Amino acid sequence: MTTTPSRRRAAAAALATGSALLLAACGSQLDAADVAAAHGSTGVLSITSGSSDTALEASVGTDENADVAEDLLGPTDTTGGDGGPAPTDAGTSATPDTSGDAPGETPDEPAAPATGDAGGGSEAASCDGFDNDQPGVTSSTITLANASDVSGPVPGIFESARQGSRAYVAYFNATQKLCGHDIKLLELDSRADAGADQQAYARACAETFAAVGSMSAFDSGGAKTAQECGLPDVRSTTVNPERVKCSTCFSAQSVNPGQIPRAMPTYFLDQFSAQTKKVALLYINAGAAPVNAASFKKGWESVGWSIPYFQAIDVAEFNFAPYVQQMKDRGIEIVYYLGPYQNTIKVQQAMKQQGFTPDVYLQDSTIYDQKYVEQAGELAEGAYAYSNVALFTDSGNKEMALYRAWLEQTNPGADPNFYGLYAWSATRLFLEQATQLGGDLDRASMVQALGKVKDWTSNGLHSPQDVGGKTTGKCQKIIRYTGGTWKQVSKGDYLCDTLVNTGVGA
Amino acid sequence: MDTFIAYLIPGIFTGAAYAIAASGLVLTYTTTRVFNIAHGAFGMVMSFIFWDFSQKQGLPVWLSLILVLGLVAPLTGLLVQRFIARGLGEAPVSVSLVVTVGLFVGLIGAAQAIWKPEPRFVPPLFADELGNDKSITIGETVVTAQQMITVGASIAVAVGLYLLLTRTRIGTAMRASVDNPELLKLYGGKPDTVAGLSWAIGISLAALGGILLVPAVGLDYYQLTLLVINAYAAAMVGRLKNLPLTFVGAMALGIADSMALGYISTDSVFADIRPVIPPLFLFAALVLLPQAQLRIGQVKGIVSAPVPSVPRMVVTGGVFLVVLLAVVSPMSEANLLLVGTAATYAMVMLSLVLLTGYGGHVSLAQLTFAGVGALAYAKLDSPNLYGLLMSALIAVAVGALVALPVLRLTGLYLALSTLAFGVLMDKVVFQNERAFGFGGALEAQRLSFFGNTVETTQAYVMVMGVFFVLVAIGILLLRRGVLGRLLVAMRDSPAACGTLGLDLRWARVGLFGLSAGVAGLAGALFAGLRGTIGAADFQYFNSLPLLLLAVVFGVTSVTGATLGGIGLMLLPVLSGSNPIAGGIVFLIIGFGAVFAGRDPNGLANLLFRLGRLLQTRVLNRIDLNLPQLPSTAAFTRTKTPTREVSGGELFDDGYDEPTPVAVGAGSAPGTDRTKEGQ
Repeated sequence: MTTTPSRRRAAAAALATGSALLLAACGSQLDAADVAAAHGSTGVLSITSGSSDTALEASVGTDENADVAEDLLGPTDTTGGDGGPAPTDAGTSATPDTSGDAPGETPDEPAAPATGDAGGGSEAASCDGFDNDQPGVTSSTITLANASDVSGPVPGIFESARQGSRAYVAYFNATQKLCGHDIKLLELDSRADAGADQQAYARACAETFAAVGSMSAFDSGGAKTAQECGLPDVRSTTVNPERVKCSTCFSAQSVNPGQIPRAMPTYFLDQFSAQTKKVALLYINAGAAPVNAASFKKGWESVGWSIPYFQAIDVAEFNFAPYVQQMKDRGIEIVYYLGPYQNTIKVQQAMKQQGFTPDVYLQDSTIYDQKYVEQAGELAEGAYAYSNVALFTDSGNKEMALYRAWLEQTNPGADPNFYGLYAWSATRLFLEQATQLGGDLDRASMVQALGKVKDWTSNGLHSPQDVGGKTTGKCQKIIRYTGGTWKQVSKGDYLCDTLVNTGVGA
Repeated sequence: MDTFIAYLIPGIFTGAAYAIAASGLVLTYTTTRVFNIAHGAFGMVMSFIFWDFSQKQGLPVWLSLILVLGLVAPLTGLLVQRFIARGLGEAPVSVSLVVTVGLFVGLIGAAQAIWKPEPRFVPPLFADELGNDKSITIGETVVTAQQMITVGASIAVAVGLYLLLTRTRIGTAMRASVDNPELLKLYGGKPDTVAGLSWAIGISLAALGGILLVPAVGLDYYQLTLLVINAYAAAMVGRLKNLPLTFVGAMALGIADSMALGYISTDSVFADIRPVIPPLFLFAALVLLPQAQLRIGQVKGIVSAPVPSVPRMVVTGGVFLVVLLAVVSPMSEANLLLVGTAATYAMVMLSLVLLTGYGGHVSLAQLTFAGVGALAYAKLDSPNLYGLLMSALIAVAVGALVALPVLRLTGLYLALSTLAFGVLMDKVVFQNERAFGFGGALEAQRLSFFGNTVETTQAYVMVMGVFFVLVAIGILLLRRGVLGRLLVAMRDSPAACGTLGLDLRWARVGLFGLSAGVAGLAGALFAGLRGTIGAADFQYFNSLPLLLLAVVFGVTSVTGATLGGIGLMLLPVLSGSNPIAGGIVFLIIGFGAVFAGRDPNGLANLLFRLGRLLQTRVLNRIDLNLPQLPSTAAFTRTKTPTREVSGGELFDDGYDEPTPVAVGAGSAPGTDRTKEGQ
C-alpha cells in the first residue's frame, strides 16, 4: 500500500496533536504543588499562600486535635435533644487524616470518631410494635435517601450535602441501631434539574423510608412527589418556595424567603452606621437569587439600610467594570453580592482593578468556603460574611469535631462545608426523632414529629432553627477573613433578633 | 465625561473579545462554508490546555502560548478539517450545523473527562506574583494590560486576516476554494490545503480569544463556550464574509452592551432589555441587513426516509402502544417519569421532522416553543383537552410570529434567528416574574378527559404515548398528502416552486406555526406530567442537543424522533451515574454525531435497511421453503406486488416509493443519490 504525502502529513499532524494533548493530559495528573515545587515557581501558588500557611498550621495543630479526640470519648453534649443520650456500644475508632482544613483556619479535627450518642441525646422509645412492612424498611435495615446536585452544569455543586448525610449515617451505624435496624443511605443525584429532582424523589418514595440532608438548586421538582407519597423529607436547606409549601418537607436550616433576620443588618447599622446608607446589592440573575435579593432589600431597608444600587448580573457576565463604575458614581460604601463564590471573585477582581475599595464587602455563608479562600487569594482579605453555623475550626464545639472527623472518615479529603454541615444536622435530626418514636415510627408520625421541632441546633452545630415552623432562623454571627483566617467579629455566640416579614416570595 | 469613558473602555474590551471570536467564525465560514457552532468550545478546550501547560505543568507563559497557538490549535484545526469538516460546506444546513453541534457537545465532554471539576485560575498574561495585572489609568478608569492586549489583538487579527484574504495568493486561493474548488484545482490550487489552513487559523483564533478572556470569564466548561454565541451577532453584521464590518459590529455590540448597563437604570422599563442586547443585535442584523449569497440555504435533494402506508402506520402505532403498555406496566414511578420525559422529547423531535426533515428549515428554538406550550397550559389552568388545544394554538401563534419577520431568511440565517428568539424568550419572558413566578415554578395539573383526571403516572405516560402516535400519524398523513409533497418540493427546489407560482412565504409561516404547535403540545403534556414547571426546564441552549440527537437518529422519520427522544432522555441520566463516564458519553455522542449526523436520515435509516434486509432475505427464504398448498393461495402476502426481491417474487413492504432525487440538486454527504429505496 502506498502512502500519499497528504496522508503522511495527516498522520504527522495527528501524532503531533496527540503528543501535545497527551502532554496536557499527563500534566493534568500531576499535583500542582509538586509541579510548582519542581519548577520553583510562585505564580498561582503564591496567590493561594493563605492555604499553604493553613497547611502548615494544620500540622502544628495535631496535639490540639488529640485533646479534642479525648474529649469526644466522653458523653456528647445533648443540647439538640430533649433528654440524655442513649449510649450503645462503642463505635469503630479511626484516626482521620488532618490534612483537611477549614477556610483559611487551623483545622481542629479530632483523631477519632466518637462513640455512642448518635441519637443525639434523644430518649429511645420502646421498639415494641415496630412495623417492618413500610417502604424502605426490612427486618434489619431502614433505607434513607439523599438527593443532591452532584452532576449537572456545575459538577459537584452540592456533593457536600451527600457527604454530610453519609458521614452521619456511618457514625450512627457505628454507635447504635434504630430498633435493631442498621441505616442505609440511597444516594441519588438531582443533577441541578427539577425533573431529575422529581425522579429522585419518586425513587425515594418507592424505595426508602425518608429523605435526609438533600440539597438541590431546583428543589421545586420533587416537592409535590414527596408530599403525595407522604415522604418525610428533612433537607439540608430549602431553596424554592414550592419546597417550603410541601407539607412533608422540612429543612435543618429553616428558610422562608419572605422573612429576613434583623440581626445582621442591625450589627452593621451599629458598627458602620454611615456606610449602611450607601449599600450596593448585586445578585446573580438565576435560580432563587432574584427573589431572595428582593426580600433582602426590603428587609434591610426596613431595618434602616439604604440600598441605592440594586442590580441583577447575568450568569454569563464577564465584564464587571461598568457595575463597579456605577458603584463609584453612587458613592457606595458597602457591597453585598448574592451568588456563587466564583462570581464573587470576579466582582472583587473588577473592584480591585478599578481601584474601588468599599468599606465593607459582605456576603452570606457562600464565601465561608475553603475553595473561595484558595481561589480569591488576597482578594478575600477583609471580606465579611454572616453565618448561622459554628466556625469549622471551633475546637470547643464537640459536634463540629464529630462532624469533621466522620466527614474525613467517610469522605477522605473532603472539606467541611455549610451545606454539608446542615446535611449532617438534618440526618441527625431525623434519626433522633426516629429514635424517640421507636415502635411508633412511620412516615406520618415522623412528619408530625418534625412539625413540632423548634430551636434545633444539632448539639450546637448551628444557631437555633425553627424546623417545624419553617420560619427563618433569627440568629446570625458576623465573621471576617483577616490574616489568612476567618474570625468571628460579632460578640457572643450568635446575634439574635426578630424577623422582618417582607412578604416577598411568599 | 469621565463616566462616559468609564463605560466606553470596558465596552471596547468586550467588543474586542467579540471581534476575535467573530473573526474566527467568519474566516472559517468564508473559506469553507461551515458555520462552526463549536468555535467557543474549541476556545474553552484550548484555554484548559493553556492552563495545563502554564499552571499545572509550570511551563513559562510565553512557551505555553506558543505551544497552544502555534502547535496544538493549528494541528487540531487541520485534523478537524481533514477528518470531520471536509466537504461539509456543501452539505445541507441541518447536517453542517449538527456536525458542529456534535463537536460542541463532544468538546465539553472531552474537557470534563480530562480535567475534572475543581477551581482553576488563569492569571492575566502580565500578572505579577500575586496574580495582579499591570494597568494604566485613563481619567478615573483603570485599564489593565490584559484589556489592552485584547484590544490590540483584535485589531491585529482584523487587519491581518483582511490582508491575508485580499492581498496574498493563499488568501485568494482560500476564497476561490469556496467559490469553485474544481476550478481552483484546474488552476493548480489545492482546495483541501487551503481549507486546512483556514481551520488551523480559525482554531488558533478561538484559542487566542479563549486565552485572552479566561482571566475575566473564568476557566469553566460552559461560560466560555456560550459566550461566543454573543459573537454571532457581530459575525452577522459582517454577513459572515466581511472582516472589517465584523470588527465594527463587534465593537458596536460591546459598547452598546456597556452603555446600556451604564445608562439604563435598574428600575427603568427598559431594564429587561440590557441582558438581551446581543440576541436583539443578532436578530436585527439578520432581519435588517441585506441577504448574503448563501449556497447552503436549503436542504437539497436528500433521499427521504420511507413513508409507510396508512394501514401500516395505524398497525405500527397500535403495536407501539401495546409495547409501551407492556414496558410501563411494571415500571416504578421514577422510571415512568423518565419514559414521559422521553415521550416529550420525541414529540418535540416530531416537530423537527415536520420543519427540518420535510420542510428543510432548521430551528434552534424548539424547546422554547415547548416552553410556551407548558407556560400556557399552566397559566390557563384548564387541565383538559380545551386547555391542551389552547396551549398548542398559542404555541402555533408564537411560531408564526417568529416566522413572519424572518420570511426571507433561509438556512443558517434562519437557524440563527431562531436561536436569537430562543435567547430572547428565555431571558425576557421565561425568567420574568410574571411568567414562572419569582424564581419559582408554576403548578400544572394532570390532564383530564370529560371530568376524569388521569391520576396515575402510568396512565398519564400512556396518554402521552397516544398523543405521540396521533401526532406521528398526523405528520405522516400530511407528508403523504398534497401539503407534504409541497413541503418536499419547497425543500428540494424553492426556485422551481417559485417559478410555478407557489407562495413559499405563507407556506413557511404555516409550517413554522404547525411545528411550534407540535412542540407546544409536547410542552403542555410535559407540564401535566411533572406537576410543576419552571423556566429552567426550557433553557435555550438545550435546543442544541435536541437538534443534535434528532439529526443523529434521523430527522426525517418518526422512528428517528422516537429513538432521539429516548437518547436525549438517557444522556443526563448516564452522565449522572458516573461523571467521568458522563463526559465520555458526551464525547461519544458528540463525535458520533460528527459521522452519523452526515446522513439526514440518521441512525433510523440503519434500522430501515436492516428491516428491509430481513424482509427480503429471511422472510422470502422462509416463504420459499414453505409448502405451497393450493388452499392457502388466497392468504399469501403478495396481494400488491411492488418490489422485486432476490427470490424473484414480489412483495408489498408497506412503504411507498421514496421521493426521487431532484435532478441537478446536490446530494447530502453520506447519502447515495442512486439509491431510491431504503
